[in-house]
Amino acid sequence: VSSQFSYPEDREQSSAAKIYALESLLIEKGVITPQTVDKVVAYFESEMTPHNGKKIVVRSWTDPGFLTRLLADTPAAIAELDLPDGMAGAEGEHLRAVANTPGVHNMVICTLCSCFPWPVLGLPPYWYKDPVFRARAAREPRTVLAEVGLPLPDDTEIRVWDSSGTARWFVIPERPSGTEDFTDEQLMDLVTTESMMGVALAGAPS
Amino acid sequence: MKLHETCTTDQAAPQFEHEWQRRAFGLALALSEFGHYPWEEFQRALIERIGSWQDAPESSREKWEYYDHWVAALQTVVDDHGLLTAPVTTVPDSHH
Repeated sequence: VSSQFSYPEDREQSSAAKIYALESLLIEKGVITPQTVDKVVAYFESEMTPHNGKKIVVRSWTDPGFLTRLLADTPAAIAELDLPDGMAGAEGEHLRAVANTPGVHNMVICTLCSCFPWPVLGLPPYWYKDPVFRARAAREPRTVLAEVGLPLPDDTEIRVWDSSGTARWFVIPERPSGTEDFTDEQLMDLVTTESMMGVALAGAPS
Repeated sequence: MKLHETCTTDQAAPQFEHEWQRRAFGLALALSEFGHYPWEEFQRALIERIGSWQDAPESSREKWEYYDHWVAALQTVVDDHGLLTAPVTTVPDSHH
């Protein structure tokens, strides 16, 4: 048993050493520069964030025509919005939106690897990549949702969307009631990453 | 088995646990962005790695660590494309 506890640290160091060595060799070979990795990650961390998804959700709430177009052709509808360049790049072209409606709740998973809609939600939370979460969410979504604080009525249909290399699903949550007079900024505050993954509702207390 | 506690809060904001994971992520993405391989190819390598982990009996497989699979997949595509064995690219430099 003790070896099970000591092992991950060794393995962690081994993976870390491999990646630093690989980066150094690629720099030496002239394949990348010493700044390449930082630039790419910084771009993702600053531009590919849930802020994009929040904008999409709020526009869907305030413009029914946009929602219709979004569900029909997600990348084309997103292109209408003033979002950062690169949205159509890595991963963006495969974005697919589904909308919650009264009686239908959508949830996004990826059973094989972690096909996460980066451009609209940012990088995935760590637990999303856990095989236990993925397998259980596919098998018993109602139970899993109840465990994470979202018990749904028995007559609510739950649709689980399995993302893949060619379809990156995200959820348009329902607009909370009593928000008719909210500004776009106030509405954006109600949208969380979790609500766009379908593991929470918009405006739900965090 | 319960889900991770961060699952229920927006605190689960996308993050890397360690700098090397951040670099592994950026390296895989950068090489694809600069045309050294299509992103789909990296994804396939990652799916294969994770698939064989999932297919292995629980007693014989290593503890789940997502970025270990990420690093292994990256090594696969780097090898497949000979990125480390190709001739060194030299920047023209009139001083030499």
